[in-house]
Amino acid sequence: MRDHEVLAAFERIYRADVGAITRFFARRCAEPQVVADLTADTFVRAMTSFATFDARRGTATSWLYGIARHTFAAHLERSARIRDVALKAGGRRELDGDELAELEARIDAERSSRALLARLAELPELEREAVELVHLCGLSPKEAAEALGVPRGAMRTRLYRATARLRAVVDDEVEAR
Amino acid sequence: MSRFEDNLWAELERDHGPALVQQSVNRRRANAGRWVAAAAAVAILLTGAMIAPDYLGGAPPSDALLDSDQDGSVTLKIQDIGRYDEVNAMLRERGIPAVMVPLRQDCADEVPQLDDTGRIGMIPWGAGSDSTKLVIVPSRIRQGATLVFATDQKNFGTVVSGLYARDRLPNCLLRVEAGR
Repeated sequence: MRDHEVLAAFERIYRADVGAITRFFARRCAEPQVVADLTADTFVRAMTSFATFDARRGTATSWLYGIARHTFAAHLERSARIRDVALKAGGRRELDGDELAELEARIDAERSSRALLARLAELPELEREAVELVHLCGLSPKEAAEALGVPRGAMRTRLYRATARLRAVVDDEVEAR
Repeated sequence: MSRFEDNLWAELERDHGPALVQQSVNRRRANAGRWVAAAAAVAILLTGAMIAPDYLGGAPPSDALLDSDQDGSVTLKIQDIGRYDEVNAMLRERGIPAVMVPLRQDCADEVPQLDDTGRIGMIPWGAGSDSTKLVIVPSRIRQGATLVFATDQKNFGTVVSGLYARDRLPNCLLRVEAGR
């Protein structure tokens, strides 16, 4: 790949997946500025490690979700640390009015997905993420396994278990009514 | 694309685009260096293959396979490269982090596209002055790395070599344990 093609290749990946990655964070954060910063962080990390991306090991989408997960985990860790020392985190770039409105709309659109994620809160983290990546993000189980860094067989088991637990939760709710 | 997405791309392209292109340049240079080294090895092996019949008078005893120099470097005759087990045993015994492995038939096509993220340096070996020998200089092999020579058993003119992190040897070359 020639030098200028590398940037074009990365731009194609960016344009194909930026919406999904933004929604991934919109399901987790209610602040547009935080969603914007985490989306930007994810793509900065992706850009600086693009040389390590290997299409034979998985799709660009699953690779990006893997980075997004790490970005969010780092954000949680950083937030906890910042709370401890009573500091405020500064945003990467102030959003303008139109961008704020766009992101607020996306955060709003993810309300039902957030509710579903909240119901999944009882599940182990990896099972919860498996359900999200497959049922909310639309990844194939293979791509979800790549994003989570688990074998495909383990992903199938997690999805099966999570579905069974969800069914039990719904049954309990129906009975309680 | 939304305004947010367009603005973010403009920011990424401006702030990180040059680094991305630089990564590509570095990678291309590294790959070019790798193939220059491999081509040199091919040339040496071809020369060795032409001269080898003159030298072949029965296999030498295994302790004569490697000549050691005072600076710690070892020299291996081209015609002995195919004695993988014996050569590797000697390299291991001397604590030299290098292995000679046969290229599997199904590996020959795979090797040129090997993921080189595990590769941590270029080829730190030298050819002997008479072009029928390989000189391995252990002090030039980085800590934690393994020098790998993969050769085609049927066609000695094919050789691939590289320096890999020890725990990340390409799967299709994983046949033997390196020393040290």
